[in-house]
Amino acid sequence: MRAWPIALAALLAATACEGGEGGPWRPGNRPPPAPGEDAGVVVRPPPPPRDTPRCEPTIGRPMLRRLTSTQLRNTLEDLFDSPDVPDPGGTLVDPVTRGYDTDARASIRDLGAEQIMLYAERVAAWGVEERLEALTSCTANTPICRIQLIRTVGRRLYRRPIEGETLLAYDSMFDPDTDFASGAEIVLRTMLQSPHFLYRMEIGEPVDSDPSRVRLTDYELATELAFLLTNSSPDDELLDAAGAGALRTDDGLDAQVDRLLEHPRAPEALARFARQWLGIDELYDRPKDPAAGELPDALRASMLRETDALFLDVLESGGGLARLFEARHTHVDGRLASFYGWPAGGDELTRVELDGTDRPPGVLGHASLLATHARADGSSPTQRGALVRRRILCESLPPPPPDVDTTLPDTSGARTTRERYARHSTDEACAGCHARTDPIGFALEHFDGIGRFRAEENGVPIDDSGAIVGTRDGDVPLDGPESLSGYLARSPEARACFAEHLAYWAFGVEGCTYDDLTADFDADTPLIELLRRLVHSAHFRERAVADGG
Amino acid sequence: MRRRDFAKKVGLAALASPFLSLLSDGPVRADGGRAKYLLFFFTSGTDSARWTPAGSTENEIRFSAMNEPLAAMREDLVIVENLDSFGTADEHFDPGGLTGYGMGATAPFDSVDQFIASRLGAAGARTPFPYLLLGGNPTQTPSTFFRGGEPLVPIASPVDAFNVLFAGASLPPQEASDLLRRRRSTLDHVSGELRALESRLGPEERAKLDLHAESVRALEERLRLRLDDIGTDVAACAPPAPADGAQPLLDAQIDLDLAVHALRCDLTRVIAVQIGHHQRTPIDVPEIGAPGDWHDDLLHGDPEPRTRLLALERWLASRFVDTADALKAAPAPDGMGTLWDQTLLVWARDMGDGVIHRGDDMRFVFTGGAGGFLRKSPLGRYLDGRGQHHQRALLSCVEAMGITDLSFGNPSAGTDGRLPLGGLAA
Repeated sequence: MRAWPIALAALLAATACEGGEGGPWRPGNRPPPAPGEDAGVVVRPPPPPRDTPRCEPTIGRPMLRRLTSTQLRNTLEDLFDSPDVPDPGGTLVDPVTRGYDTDARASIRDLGAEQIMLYAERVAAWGVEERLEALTSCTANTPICRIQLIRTVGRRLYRRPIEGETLLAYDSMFDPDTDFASGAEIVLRTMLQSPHFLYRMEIGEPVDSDPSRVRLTDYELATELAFLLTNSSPDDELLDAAGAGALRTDDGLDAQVDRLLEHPRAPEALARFARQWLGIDELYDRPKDPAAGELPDALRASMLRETDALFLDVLESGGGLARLFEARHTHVDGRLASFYGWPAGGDELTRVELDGTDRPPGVLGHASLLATHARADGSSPTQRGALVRRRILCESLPPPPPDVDTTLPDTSGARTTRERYARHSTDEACAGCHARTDPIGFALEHFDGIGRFRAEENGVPIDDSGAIVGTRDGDVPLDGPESLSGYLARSPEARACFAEHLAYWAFGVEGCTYDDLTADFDADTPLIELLRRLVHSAHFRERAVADGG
Repeated sequence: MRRRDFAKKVGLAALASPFLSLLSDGPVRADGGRAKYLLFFFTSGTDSARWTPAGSTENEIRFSAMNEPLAAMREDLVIVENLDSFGTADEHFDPGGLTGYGMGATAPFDSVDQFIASRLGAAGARTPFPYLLLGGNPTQTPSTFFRGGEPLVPIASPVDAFNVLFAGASLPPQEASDLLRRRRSTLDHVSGELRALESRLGPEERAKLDLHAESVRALEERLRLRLDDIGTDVAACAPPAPADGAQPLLDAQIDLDLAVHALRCDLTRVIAVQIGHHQRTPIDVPEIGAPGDWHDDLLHGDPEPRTRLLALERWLASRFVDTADALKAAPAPDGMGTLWDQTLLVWARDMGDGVIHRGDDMRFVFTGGAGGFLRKSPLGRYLDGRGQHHQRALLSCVEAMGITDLSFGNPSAGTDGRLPLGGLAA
């Protein structure tokens, strides 16, 4: 029965079991077998070269988007102006789709309402006890104080003004026979369970000239903008701008974009995209064998800070995708500097020029990426190659064929990782898939499983030559990480892929919502410009109505 | 698989085997009793060749090194191996393990835990929670439990699970009553907002809010039940508040303890604990060996003789035994013996061989007093499934719970795949 009686190392196992990048998982979206795919090795050629990496633009439907767990926490920290808000823990579990936590299909179901209720009660009790003064200075159980609290808190949690029946309903929750704080606690815990708080509304309002579309309301637009750039609810200034209709013009929108990019939450919000795009948000979940190198959490945090800093630096300095791959500087704190073998400083980030060091330019040289995409006990050319194929070039990789033992084979005689992997890439059963991943990963072999530089492995000098097979220009030879970064920096496929990832992260929906980003997108197009294009794109401001009404 | 296909597969000689009686078209019914509670112990696939208790017979299990810890309860075990998922559980991501449906299925299928919970509910089982799903890894896409074809997310944090199950259980009656009434009032408001909002939405978003509204309705019902039960001593059967275990494996160990306590309190009849996740489960447990990821490093990176996978499987087997022991030590809520007497405990997996990605060697470990449902042997029972559809083992769980509606599962499994396993029941 077993097609491969001799166990062979289908080294794709580590990442190829994930089901590909074909969108959110659910039964049904595994691609159908290609002609000729049967038992045994599945070799899927890379996609044909794309002269124009554009797509047919689509616009999504009106929707409700449930807050992510981070958005929930950030919103409450902002409301109470305190980092000590009770941790939501698993109150909201974010579906991870395409590597992002922003899936617009996230819902509340089953025991979700109970978990939210329990969390709302904790937050309300804590807030009234510890931070009531952050919400209001008027704490008498009088109509004036009650209405002031409801309007203030409601505006921040509903992300629009609260008036009319809603206002009266909340006012009725105050018991005239108890104190103000008791009523405030009831109001808080009710608002925190409200669908108007838990879901971001992107429902829109009719557009007179086009019955097939709706335009997001001013407050919906403000909300979308705030969550995109700060991963939190809109602040008062943004709500004021929405109330004044200032977001209806390009200039008004741009003014808020400029302001929010300076918001204290913007760096974390934007770096979050980079972490999820590169998969390095999983770094803390990657166990490491101490025998192969210690990687304490503090060092992992330093590694992530480095990548955050480069991404933000490229954004702020007007750099393009090329700079992200080819920057000849980095920012490290003392802990990471020491790890890299550089003079150690303090906790603050210090800019370091890379020329003359053993770290390659750009993000591919970051320990965060190299340690995440590696095994517990060593590097993994396959995982690193798969990262490039899947996340940076948006290619699909098939799962390993059945009946193939994906465990690393007997290593006797093989002194280096490259020798082990190369040996099996020459095997017909494995070579088809490995030819697409391993030669890319070989270019990063100067870095071990925790991202440390190594000149040799077991006394054998590192050979970091490799190749990217099947590109539009044929097979591209690689000579170390710089050549790989150089290729990606100028790859139209990498740019199209980046735009696709950025749009999915922003919108949480499938489809070609990123076409507005890809026009004239070259290697040096500032990434910050892509963010602006995102905000001006059709899906950001409008939605399609299926039946035209 | 049709009967004649099966015959081809196992060889005509096997048609004379008593096992083929399992494939009779008539339903195989248990003559014994029925279980009141069901607890799934759910893990990833394993290394089949190393796990299988080679040389076992129907009247004796000969444990392998991987499952040797199970020997401590051999007289209570029924191991069934060599069941075929027929392509529904070949990959780590496949949904077939508890459903019978493979990747690509568009039917609104349920996993067996959901099917059982819904049938028990329809039959009038009155527990605060129709089911509980615990464990997993919250950073990974769920693909084990399903209702209506949509994956369900287990509660990963033991602290969260404890809060849902037991928080407030020790409040004095008047305080508890006040709290529950306040909660119901709040939920009334939330329900009203949900209804008003739904009217403004298209069908897809309405469906999303429907799920939320249903969640609120179920919560309201639980609160009503708790109000009715004010005065009963839930605190007496609640465990101490746990801390999170810091890694999925240890979280699941705590979840198993919570699960036993939840059954002891009769909070639900159906619980599944998913131990780890098929793609990303960091493991750092000294007795298992060097830190590594279950999928990347233990299933696909642990060279022969797979010492870490061996240690992990032994650890899992020990937790399975621990769970059985906890059930034996817990009095049944109705005072009729112990939880063990009334519970069917099942070790199920997402696939057969996780090392080489095969689903045609699915295995189950059944145990528990199960109300007398299981046929046992002093040295343990080992049943060779001989390539029958693994869905039959899931149907046996349905049957063990006294449910006569055997419509669970994938109809394309054919008649043969839509019957409970023969030979399992007493």
